[in-house]
Parts: sequence; structure tokens; C-alpha cells
Amino acid sequence: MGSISKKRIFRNLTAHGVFTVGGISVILIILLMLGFLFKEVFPLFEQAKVEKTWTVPGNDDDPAVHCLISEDGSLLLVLFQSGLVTLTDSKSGDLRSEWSLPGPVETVAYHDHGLAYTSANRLYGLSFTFSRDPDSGMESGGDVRILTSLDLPMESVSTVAISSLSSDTYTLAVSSGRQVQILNRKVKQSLFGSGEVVEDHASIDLPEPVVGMLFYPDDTLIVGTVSGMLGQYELTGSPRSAFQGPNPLTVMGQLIGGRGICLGGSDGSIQVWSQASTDEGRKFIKIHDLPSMKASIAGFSFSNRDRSFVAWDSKGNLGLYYSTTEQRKLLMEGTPGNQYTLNPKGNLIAGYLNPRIFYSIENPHPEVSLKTLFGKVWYEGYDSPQYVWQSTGGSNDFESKFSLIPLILGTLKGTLYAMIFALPLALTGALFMNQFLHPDMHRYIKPVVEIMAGLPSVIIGFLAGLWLAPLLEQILPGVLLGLLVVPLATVSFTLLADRWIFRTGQDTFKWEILTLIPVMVVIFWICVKASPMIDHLLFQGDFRQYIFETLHTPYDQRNAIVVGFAMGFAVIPIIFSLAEDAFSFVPREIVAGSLALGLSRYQTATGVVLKAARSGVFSAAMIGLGRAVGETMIVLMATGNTPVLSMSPFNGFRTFSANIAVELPEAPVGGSPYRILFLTALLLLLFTLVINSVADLIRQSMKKRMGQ
Amino acid sequence: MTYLLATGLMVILLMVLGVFAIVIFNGIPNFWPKPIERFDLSNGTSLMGEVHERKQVFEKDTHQLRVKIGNREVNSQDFTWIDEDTIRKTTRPEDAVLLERLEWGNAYGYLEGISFADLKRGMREMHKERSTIEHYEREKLVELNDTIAELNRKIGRSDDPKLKERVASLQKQYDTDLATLEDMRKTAFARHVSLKLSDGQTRELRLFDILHAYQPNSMGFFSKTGLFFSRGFAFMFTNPRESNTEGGVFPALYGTVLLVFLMSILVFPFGVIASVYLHEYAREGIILRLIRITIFNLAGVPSIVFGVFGLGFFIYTVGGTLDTFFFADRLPTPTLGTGGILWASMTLAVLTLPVVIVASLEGLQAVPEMYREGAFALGATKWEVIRDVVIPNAMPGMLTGLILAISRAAGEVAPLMLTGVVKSAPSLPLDLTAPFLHLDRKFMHLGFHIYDVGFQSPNVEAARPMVFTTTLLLLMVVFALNLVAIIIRNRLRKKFMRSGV
Repeated sequence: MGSISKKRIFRNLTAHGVFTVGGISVILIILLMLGFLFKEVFPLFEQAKVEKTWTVPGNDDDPAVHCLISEDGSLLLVLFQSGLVTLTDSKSGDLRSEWSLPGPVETVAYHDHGLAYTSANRLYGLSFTFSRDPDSGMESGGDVRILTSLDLPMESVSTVAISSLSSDTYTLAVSSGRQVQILNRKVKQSLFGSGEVVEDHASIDLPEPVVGMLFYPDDTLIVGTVSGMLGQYELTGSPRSAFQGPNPLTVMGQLIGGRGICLGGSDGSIQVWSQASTDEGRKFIKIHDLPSMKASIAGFSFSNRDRSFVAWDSKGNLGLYYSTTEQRKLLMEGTPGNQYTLNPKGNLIAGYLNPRIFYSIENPHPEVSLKTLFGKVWYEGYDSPQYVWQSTGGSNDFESKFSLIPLILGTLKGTLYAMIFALPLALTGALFMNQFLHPDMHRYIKPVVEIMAGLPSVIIGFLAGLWLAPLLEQILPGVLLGLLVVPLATVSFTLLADRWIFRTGQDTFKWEILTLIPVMVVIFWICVKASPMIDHLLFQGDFRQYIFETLHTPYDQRNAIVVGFAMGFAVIPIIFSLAEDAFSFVPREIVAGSLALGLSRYQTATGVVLKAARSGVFSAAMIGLGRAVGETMIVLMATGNTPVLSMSPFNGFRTFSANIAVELPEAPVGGSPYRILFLTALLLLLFTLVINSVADLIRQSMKKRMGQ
Repeated sequence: MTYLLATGLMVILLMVLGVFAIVIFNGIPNFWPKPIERFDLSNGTSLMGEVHERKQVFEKDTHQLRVKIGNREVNSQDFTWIDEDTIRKTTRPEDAVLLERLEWGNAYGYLEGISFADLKRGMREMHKERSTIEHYEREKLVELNDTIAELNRKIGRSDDPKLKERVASLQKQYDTDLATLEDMRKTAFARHVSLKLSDGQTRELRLFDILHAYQPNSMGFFSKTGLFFSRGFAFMFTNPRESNTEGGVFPALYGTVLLVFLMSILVFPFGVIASVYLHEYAREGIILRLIRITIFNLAGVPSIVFGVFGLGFFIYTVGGTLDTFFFADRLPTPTLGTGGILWASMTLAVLTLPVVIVASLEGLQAVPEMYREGAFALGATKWEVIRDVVIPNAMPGMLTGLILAISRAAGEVAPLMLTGVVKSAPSLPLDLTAPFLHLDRKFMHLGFHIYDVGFQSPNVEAARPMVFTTTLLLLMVVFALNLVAIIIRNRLRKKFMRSGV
């Protein structure tokens, strides 16, 4: 015997290596997919934490009154009591520029273009801008300018609120003690060019000293007094509504967008109120009770990017809050008496009195918590807590709503309606083919079902959305009638035709069974033609109107009935094949035995075979369910894709998969919607993996029981 | 009661037949030239166009006609509904002409001042001019522009004077070519044709805009058949016009085929290697069983999940990193960090990998152990056994898997929506400009085309016939692939059964 050549040995080893590496890398890719999804989802649930803190000496003699931080947190703009404004580097404390404004600065308020302050009967509106170096993109400097200034009719102003402020028009309110004055200056444009200046003046007297004021987006003024009583006033000074906040009230503020009012009390409590339309008209409702601080609330600083804010108390403790989730993300011990500002990006808190203390924080995805994902949340403007999915809105200050419940319900709804259509058809069809159809016919019928399995779901979705849905809208009563009549009529037909077409007493069917098809088609067609008549008789001429009146839901053209039927195309072939497989695993001996004992084919099929194969059938249904859960294109095209919380068959829904397809391309990488969509993808993946594994186990155990 | 079960199966059969019937009956007639009918209405106006649908008004007892009246620059819509009881007279004028145009849809009317034969001659001449103009617009100038942009980027990095010279000379050539193009356009646009519409007004149309012209009312059966086939052919091989509502679907067909091809190249080797490893090399154990279960289950995972993976991992992570290494000068515009045919085919490959592995495993399991043992007994190495005995015999299963994968790829749309398919791509991913295969380009796809044109197009009425025809095309492609799979599988089975022991 010769020895084996070195070349062959080498080739063998190489092949072994290639196959091993290839095989393992394929397995790794699959694991990579799971891991990657987990990795992208994980940051959603990370806690906020303080990364660094540092201090920079401040100025004792001239206390700071207010502070603004640049977007990235590298520059600090501080307004001092003397009217001095400095621009410093937040890390090193180095002075970059300074400006001198008229002082002393008394009270401070925000307006659209920046800050405004009062000093000795005058109001100064400022514009503060930070600039970036065009080449490096780093923040390099800033500018402070007086935009406008005007005289105030009051001495010793204690609080100011500004609705709008520009060089020739303004709407603002000032308070001193218990009196509030609303000042309004408009330029009325006449038809012929030059405008006419109109100045309005309103006065409100309150029973107690005013703690704070703010303008609400509907152009009303909210005034808060010491006892926690808040009143809403029109610009003319006439009262509109009132509500009771914490007593005593210490601080008032507004969340981004202006619709959320934040109230702080001397007991450390923090409440968020918002105006909603209720059955009794528009009123203010408390929507959040946030975790309280230990001492009396001394101030708020709000993010202008999301609904985060910082609250500090008189003992110097500092809390980072998020309104919608009702969570306090961080609690830090600050320096007593200090005042704080949050930068727009939300990752730097600066205390700007002496000493200047900085907290650099990491707070990714503050708007996401288990509660906002799975629980009812009370959003601004709503009159009760709700489950809502609305990830983006028209403006930057939109409150993103990330409840997964409408999507979960939508997915379940789609699956439910799909199974309602698919299960009866697939199971009866499979049982019939397996037990009553002559084996020769299988060669022709099986490919038809395989073709059904191969139909791209895009095509099914298109036909459902653009052909079936409009048609169904016209003929639904006829179709429903058909669903009842066709089975009955077909069975009656067979009783009559039994003698001539179906040879009585025969065992299995061949081509003659197809004669049922024209019969079914004709009867169905008659029912459809009768649809207007039914409409007239039962539904007063328009069944859509009838549905709207009785069920209080409108009839959407693209609804759950259409989708359920269309998904049937995707799901029926799978259940059919697997069920048919399950039926064929039932040993022939059992079937033969049953027939020998005198049971008819039908009794054998339903009483013996179906019962014996029931776990196989169950497993087939589960796998079909898994398929229905993940179907994307049909849902996308045949529903209105609206995330509603209704199980009614007459409206649409939105599933996890359709949601991903629509929203992921628009989601900024690494943002909250992005990661939440990954979470839904992960949930889909895990769900289908679990269902398929369980179904497979059931199938294997059934095979074992049948002795295969 | 048996028959109750029978109805279940019959409904299933009806559903499948129904789909094909609806698609065929709505898709094919679009190519057959319809007569141009002229409707004189009772209110004195008159309309001309093709009848596309006759619908019964369910509430009353009359019918409505959906007529394509075209002339979109005059009428606001392509289609209009006419109540049958308002029609006074219907005629089919022999000399009514249909002009397919580049813009504004079809034009229906009578030629004025020019005979039909002269029109056809003028169109033939114009056709040559149009191709030259298009060649300039789409290829010559675009290439020059791209080269100049590329060179400018290089200049940004190094300061080579030779490059600057080259840019200057190319720029001069660009300017000359642009001037030539403008001249050509001016001469081409100057020729006009007068068309009298049904309401009497006459319009001047540019000969340049007219792509096809015919008089359907005076065409015989043979010429209509010829037109039918030429339209079908044009549908498959010309580009779309008017935001995908007119013209053909060639780029979408091309994109689908190319996508499927790239995916097959990726998935087949890996699928075969993985299945061979799992079946022939890996050691039995719990880990192996777990892996097999995982792969089996992955075949049932929704395709959108793979799309998410493709977007997050392939595009943003891998593509983004590659961009910073190789295409940093183009940032922040992403080259590989955005969807494209490369990532889409890789995503589809991962999607169909479980299917291919499962089918290949079945094929490998079907090879009797005797074959392997016999080969070993004759002194073959493991690799030789696999290469010469196992794989050839397992081929039917492996090919079945591949063809299942292919027909899924042709039909799947959801993962593509996330990884690079677009409504309208300016250029093909595989063309005649270097480097010929542009893996970073976005592409079009028949399935996505159906979704987009059917649901996102501005003119759904005009688009509907097109969508049905595209659906028919996609169905034929998928059907053909499945048929090929079945035939190959049967042939190979027979071949190996004959030669079997």
C-alpha cells in the first residue's frame, strides 16, 4: 500500500481549518446580532451619574445674580449685582471678556432672546449669545448686548415675567409686594403704512405678597402668592381661573414649551401643573408629584432642551429631576445658599455664587423609564394619565411620548385577527387534504400552498390596501352575509349533488371536489350583489354610519378585518404545512383501526386524528403566530398605521414591526427613540425565539409519542 | 360535514388563484392599447381619453366611467369620472392621437398642421438628438463633475500644482461641453408640434418631449399586438418617469437582480461551509444542539429585526468606522456609513443564512452514511470525502436552500427600507463608470417600488396600473425562481436516485 501524499494531507488540514473557521464565524455572527441588539438597548436603563466635580473661586463682594452656561458647558456668562457681566472658562475660571451694564441688578427674568433684568425703575432686555470658532467648532466667546430698555411704573420690583420683548413692542408683568402691573405695547399696523402705538396697562391687587409670575402659552399670566394660591389672569387683568399649589409656595418656574408649571414649597415638595381641557372646560390640573427635597425649595433651573430641571433647597442640596418620568435622577449635596444653572445639553450644573462649583453629569435618555414605557403617564395638556405613543411632534419643545402599550396592543390585535382568519381555514384545509383527499391529488394541491407561502408580502399588502380595502368598504355587509351563507349553501349543494357528482360512499375525493369552487363563487357573488339591499334593510342605507353611531368608532377603510384576511396569506401556508405534517405522523394503524371499528371517515378525522395530533396542531399554530407577530409590509400597507388603543375590527393599529420600519430611518443615532426602537426589535426577536423553541419542543415530543 | 372541511381547502385554493387572477387581469391589459373615445356631454363640453374602469354606483342604478384624459398641464388630474347618464354622444375618431411625453403625462388630441407619418419621421430624428443630449446630461457632464470634485478633495489634502492644472483643464472642458449641451438643447427644443384638444384649444408641444405617438383607433389587430409587446418590453427595460408613475421599472428590476446576485454570492459559501461544519466536523454535545436550535429558530425571526441589525451594526458601526478611515475627506456626508447595496445584500445574507443552513443540513443528512463509509474505506481523506461524495449528493438540498433564499430576497422589502433602498436612484450600482461596481450606492427594488408607488406617490390614480404591472412582474420573477427550484430539485433527486445503491 502506498502512503498518502503530503499534498492531500495538507489539503485535508486546510479544509478542516476553513470549515471550522467558517462555521464558527457564522455562529458568531448570529450571536453578534443578539449581542448588538442588547448593547444598543442597554444604555436606556443606565442611571444618571456625576462624572466630575470641581470648584473655581468666585467673587464675594459682588454677588452673582444669574448665570448662563454655553451649550457644551465650556463657557460661563455671569451677571453680577453691580451690573458687571463676565465670560469665563468653566474649567479654569479664566476671564475671557467682560461688559459693564447699568446696575444694581434687582430681579431677573427670561424672554425669547435671552435675559432681562430690572434696575431702579428700568427694565433692560439683553441678548446673550455664545459663538463658536468656525474651524474647530469649539465654543470660543460670547457677546452681551442691551436690546431694549424701558421705564417701569413701579418702585422696588420684586418679580418680573416677560411674554415678549423687542425694541418697540412688549408684553410683560412686574410685581411689587401685593400688586401686579401688566404692561402691553403693540404697534397696530394700519392699511397705509405707519403703525400706531397702543399702550395698555392693567393692574391686579392680591391679598398676599407675590412669590412668582409667568406667562402661559395661551397668553395669560399666572401669579403665585405666598400661600400657594395661583391665579390665571387675562392680559387685561381679569381673572380666569385659580388653583392651589403647595402652601407656603417658595419658587415657581416653567418647563420647556411653557405648558408645565413647576411649583416648589417650603416643605420641599415639587409639583408640576398643566392646563388641560376637561368636561368642565379648561383648568389647571396637577400632573406630577415629584420626590421632595429635604428643606424648603430655594430655586429651579430648567433645561431648554427637554423636561429636565435642577432644584435646590435652602440647605444647599441639589436634585436633578425629569418631569415626565416623575423621577429624581441625582441628588447631590451642594453648598448652602448657592444658586445653580443647568446647561442646554443637560450635562453640566454650575453653582455660580461663591465658590463656583461644577458638576459634570451623564444623564442619557432621561425621558425613558419603565413607567414611561409600560405605564400610564400624565402628559402636559392631557386631563388624565394615558398610554400614548407619539415619538416626535411639530416643535422642539414637544413632549415625546414613548409608551409601548399601544404598540403591544396593536401587535396583539394584528396577530389575533390574523389567527381568526387563518386558523380555521388552515386547519380544516390540512385535515381535509390529509384525511379526505386522494394521495394522487396531493401532488397538485401541495404546490399551490407552497406558492402561497412564496408570495411576497409586499404584493399581499398592496392588494389588501389598494384593492381589497376600498372594495370592502362598499360591500362589507354582503361579505359578512357570504361568510354565513356560503358554507351552509355549499353543504346543501353537496347533499343534493351527492348522487351525481360525488360517488356516495366513496373513500377519498379527487378532482370532483373542485366543483365546489364555482358553487362557492357564485353564491358569494350573489351575497355581494345583495349588499346594498342589506345596507338598506338593516343599516339605514350606510353601514359605516351605523357603525359610527352604535359603536362610536369610525369605520376606517384600512382596518383590522382587511389586515387579518391579508395576513392569512402569510400565515395559512405555514400552519397548513405543519398541521398536515402533524396529521401524517399519526400512525396508520390507529386510523385503520378506527375505520375498522366502524367510525366514518369524518368521525375518524375529527375524533381520532385531530385529537391525536393536537399538540402538533398547537405547535403549528404557535409558529404561525410567530410569523404573524413579525409581519411588516402587510401591516404597513393595509392599516392606517395609527397607534390606537382599540381592539375594534373597524379601525387600524400599529405593530412593533411597522413602527420600526416607519420610525427607525428618521431616528437620530443613539437618541432615545433610536434605542427604544431597538428595544422593540429585541422584544420581537426574543418573543419569536421563545415561541418557536417552545413550538419545536412540543413538536418533537409529539413525534416521540407517536413512535417516530 | 366533510364538505365543511372541504370548503376550507377550497377557500385556500381560491385565495391563491384569486391573487393571480386579480394581478393578471389588472396588470396585463395596461399594455394593450385602448381606443381613444370622445365624449360629448350634455352640458356642451367634450372630453377625450381612454376608458379605464366602469364602476357601478352602488347607491343609484347608474354607472360611472373612469377616463384617463391626460394633458396634465391643462387638466389638473390625469383621470376623471364621468357619469354615464351625462353623456350625449360617444365617438372614436380615427385620427385621434395619443402622445406619450416626458412630462405632464399622455396627450390626447388631433394633430394639426402635420401628418402622422411626418410626425413619426420627426420623432425618429429627434430620438437621436435626445440620446445624445441625455448622454451629455447623465454621463459626460456627471463624470467630469465627479472627477473634478474628487480632485478638489485631493487638493484639499495635498497642495499639488499638477492637480490644480488638471482641475483647470477639466473645468474648461466641462464648460465647453456645457455650452455644447445648451446649444443642442436649444435646437432640439425649437421644434414644435400643434395639437388640437377635444375642447377646441390648440397647444404647441415640443417635439423633444414626445416619446411615442400612435393612433389607437386606426390600428389593426397586428399593430396593436406589436404595440402590446413593445410596451411590455419597454416596461421592463426603460427608466421611470414622472416620479415613478410613467415609464418603466428597469432600475428596480436591475436593482433586484443585482441585490439577489450579491446576496447569493455571500450566503451560499457561508451557508454551505457552516452546514458542513455543523454536520461533518463539529462534535456532538449540548452546545451543538443549542446552536442548531438557535439557527433553526432564527429562520422564523421577523425580517425587520435583521433590518435593524443591518442598520445599527453594518451601516452605523462598521460603515461609520470605515468612513473615518477611508473616506474622511467626504465627511460629514457618509459614504459607507449610510444605506447602500453592499449593506443591504449583507443584511439579506444574514437574514437568509438560517434558511440556507437548514436546507443544506437536510441535504447533508439525506446523504446515506454508506457513501461516506465507502469513500473512507477506499482511502479518501475527510476533505476528499466531503468534496467528492457528500457535497455533490447534498447539492439538491443546498440548491433548494439557495433558491428559497433568492425568492425571499426578491420579495422582502422591510429590511431593505432600513438599509439603502430608495424611491428613485440617480444611477445604477453596476454601470460603465469606474470602478463599475459601486457598492456604496443606493438602489431600487421591485418590491419597494410597489410599496412606494402604491402608497407614497403623489398621483395614486395614475400610478395604480403601473403598480399592478410591477406586481405582476415581481410575481413572475418569484414564481419562476420557485419553479426552477422545484425542477432542479427533482432533476437532481432523480439523478442521484438512479446512481444510488
